[in-house]
Order: sequence, then structure tokens, then C-alpha cells
Amino acid sequence: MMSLSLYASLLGGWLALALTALLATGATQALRVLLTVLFLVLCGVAGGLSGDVAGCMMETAPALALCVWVFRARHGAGNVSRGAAVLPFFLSGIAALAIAFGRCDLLGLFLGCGLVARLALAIGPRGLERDGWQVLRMELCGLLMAQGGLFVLQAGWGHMHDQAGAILLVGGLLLACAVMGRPGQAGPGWNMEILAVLPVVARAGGVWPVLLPVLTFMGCVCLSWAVLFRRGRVSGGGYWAGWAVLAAGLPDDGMGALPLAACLLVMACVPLSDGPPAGYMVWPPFLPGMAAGLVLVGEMGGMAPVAFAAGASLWPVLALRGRDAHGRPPWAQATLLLVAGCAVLATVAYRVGRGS
Amino acid sequence: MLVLLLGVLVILSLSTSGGRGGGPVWHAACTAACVCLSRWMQGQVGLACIMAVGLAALFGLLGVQMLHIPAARRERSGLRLAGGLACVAVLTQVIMQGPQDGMTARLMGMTGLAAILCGVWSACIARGPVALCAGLACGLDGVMLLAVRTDDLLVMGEVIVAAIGLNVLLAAAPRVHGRGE
Repeated sequence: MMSLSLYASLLGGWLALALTALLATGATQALRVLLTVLFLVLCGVAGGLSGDVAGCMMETAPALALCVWVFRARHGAGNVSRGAAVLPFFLSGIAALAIAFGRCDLLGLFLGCGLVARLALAIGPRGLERDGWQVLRMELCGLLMAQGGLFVLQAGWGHMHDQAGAILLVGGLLLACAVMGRPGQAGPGWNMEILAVLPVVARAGGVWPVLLPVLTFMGCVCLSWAVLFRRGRVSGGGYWAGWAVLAAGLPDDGMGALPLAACLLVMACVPLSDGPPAGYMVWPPFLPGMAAGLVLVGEMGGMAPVAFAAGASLWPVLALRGRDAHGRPPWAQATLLLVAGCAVLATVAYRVGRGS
Repeated sequence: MLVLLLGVLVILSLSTSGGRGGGPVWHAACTAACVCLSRWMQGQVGLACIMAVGLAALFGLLGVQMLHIPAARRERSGLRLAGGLACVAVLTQVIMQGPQDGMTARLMGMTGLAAILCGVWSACIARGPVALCAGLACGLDGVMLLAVRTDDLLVMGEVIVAAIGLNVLLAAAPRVHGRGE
């Protein structure tokens, strides 16, 4: 069992070391791989020592996303600026710190740090660029709303006020994560914030139970957003974000935090702006898609109508599967998804076997 | 006499908080007055008052920058609404003298929340960077009110940092593009 202060200081040390090394040496590929593997091992060890498999998966999700990004960037074009090469390291380190602390009131601080880093990159010789203003508008508006909602929740004025505060908090955080925005604003291919925000919010749902139905509602909104407004260019990340929000709102029964962990794993492995999802690799009957199945099963226990509505939203994915010929994922990503799905299934089997 | 004064305050707040640069300063001054009044009634004048006054100064700087790039007409409505709300917060503090509990605290919280929402709304409909910054400034004022109500120094510090960041961003914005919009 690693104490929180030790883990946080280790993460902070890794962050400082990584930023210094990358900025000093010009971010060679070997150094990036080394730092990423170190980060993954650190998160994995800390999560493994806690003994909770779902929590371990959630803690390693930012490191996994960073791994995927680093190993994909080797094949891609290498003409990114030095700041853009360092930014994912910074964001993932911040996300891991936010998950480690797990406190809602610190989310504003961490997301604000990420926003400052992004804006510092977007600023050019003639001030902020257009995308930079858009990022500022969405993220800062979302953070302000979330902060207001958090204050109302903390004040504890009564049930109605708590509900309004929960709506503001969840909606603001999702707005700050650019889940319901135009695709492409979230960043080049990864969305670390959502990986950090959802575990923290799901943990806060234990303190304020009013958050859970709000999360279910917002998950349905995200799914319908992904279905209705991106029909032409469906992105897999949007669907999985909706599923993850839905899973975060599950009542805490036998399945625990496992559906959320599975959804976050798939979100970490599937880059956000990867074009249309490579059909059968994220299609629910395939192994990583078991997360969606788990969410459905969990929802069936609590709220059957929501489960039916969510299942109906799978239709565009199914329809897209047929005409997806050229967008095959590389074999490494398929293997990664397979391993993640196997891990989820093994955890479920272990838990069911132990429980019976 | 008091009613006359309050009427003048409301009219001033609704008329001056257009996009001319006076708006953010006026909101921030109202917020600072509210914070200082509430702290003074509680008998603990301290860091929160200094931070609120510093926030007002920072937004004054923002207003000076906005004089060069005024906001468009369409975006002023949200700013006006937020200005009126900040004024209501001050009125609440003035009218409801006495112990700060229950109703007054709740009204102050609701006013802060409404100011946040108005600021966010006017930032969302804004086209140009100036109106965006003004709306975000209103939202920051609301967060400041709420943070003072719960005595949260961390959030107050974040608000100050965000105000500095807005100043920096607006200072780096090109002057020519915002003029015509």
C-alpha cells in the first residue's frame, strides 16, 4: 500500500524530470519511450498495491493513453514543434495526479494547469489563434460552471439546489473536457482530461448520491449527441465518452467500478480523432466492447428504460460497421484492445467466481 | 434618500455595463464592495478583501484594454444582465444588515451563481475575443463571490491567476481585427 503523499511526490518528480529531460534534449524517441514506460510502471505499481483491479485500470489509463500516443507518433510525421511534443506528457502527468488525489475541488486546479499549457502553445506572434480562443471559451466556461456547481453542492441547501449544482458540475466538467464540442478541438488525437475527470466524479458520487442520476442523464445526452450530430463523421471516441459517462453514473452494486474502468481503457486505446472507428475492433461483440455490455447489464439492474435507450444508440455503430473497409487499425492497436478486453473479462470472471 | 441612491446605482449598473470597457470594472467594483461589506459586518477584514480589491484592479486593467477594442452590440445584453446581478448582490448586503446567516448567505450564493451563468452565456454567444474576455470576467466575479462565501483561499487564488491570464491574452490580441466586429 503506497501512501498518497509518496505517490503524489513520485508523480510530481516524474513530471518534473520528464519535462526537463524532454525540453533539454529535444525529445528523442528513445527518451520518450523510456519516460513513458517508467510512467506506466509507476502508475501500475501504485494501482496494483492498492489491491483494487478496477482502480488500478483507472489509474493506468492516462499512462496507457500516453503509451499509445508515443508509439503511434513513431510511425507518423515527426515535424511537430518541441512544445507540442511535450504537451501530452504534461497533460497525462496532471491527469494521473488528479486521479491520485481524487478530490473534486482540485479538479479545477489541474484542468486549469492543462488549459494554461494549451493556451501557451496556441499563442502565436499575433496573439491567440482562432482555435486557441475556442479552447479558452469552452474550457474556461466549463470550469466556471463546474466551480459554481461545486459550491452549491458543498453548501448543502437542500435537494433541489443539490440537483441544480450536480447538473452544473457534471455539465461544466464535460464542457471543459470538450466531450460535446466539435471534434478536433480536444487536441490532436487524445483527450486526457476525460480520463482524469470521470474517476474523480464517480468517486464523488459516493459522497453526493445526487450526482449519479445526473451522470446517467448526461451520458444519454452525450450518446445522443454522438448519434445525432456526427452522423457523417462518426468518431469512436465520442461514443466511448458517452458510454463512460453512463458507466460512471451506475449505482454501486456488485459490478463496482469495473464498467467505468473498461470504458476508460478503451478510450485510452482508441484515439479520439482517428476518423471513423475501425468497425469490428470497437464493435460491442468484440472483446473490448464487453465494457458496453457490462454497462448495459449494470443499467438493466437499476434503470431498464435507460439501458434500452442506450442500446438503441448502438445502431449507428452497427450501421457503420458494414462500410468500413480501409480504416483498419494497425495490429498493435488491435492487440492492445484484445489484451484490455481479456483483462476486463478475467476480472469479471475472478470477481464472480470469488463472490459465488 | 436610500431608495434614491439605490435607484441611481441600479441605473448606473445597467447603463454603463455595455461593452465600452466600463463594464468589467463596474462588476468587479460591485463584487469587491460586496465582499468587503460582508467581511466588515463579520468583523474579519483580511486577505479576502485584499484579493477582491486586487481582482477589481486587474479587471480595471482589462477594461482599459477594452477601450481600444469595444464589444459588439449583440454581446452587450449578457454583460448588462451580469452587471445588474452584481449590483443586486451589493444591494442585498446593504439592505440586509445584521448577522450573515441563512437567507442572506443563500441569496449571495444564488447571486454569484447567476452571475456565473450570465457570464458564461455571454461568453458563449460572443464572437470576438473582447466580448469573450468580458463575459469570462463576469463569470470570474461570480466565482469570487461564491469563494468568499465559503472562505476558500485556493479558488480565490485561481480566480486571480485567471484574471491575470485574461489580461495577458487580451494584451497579445491584435488590435485591428476586433474593431470592426
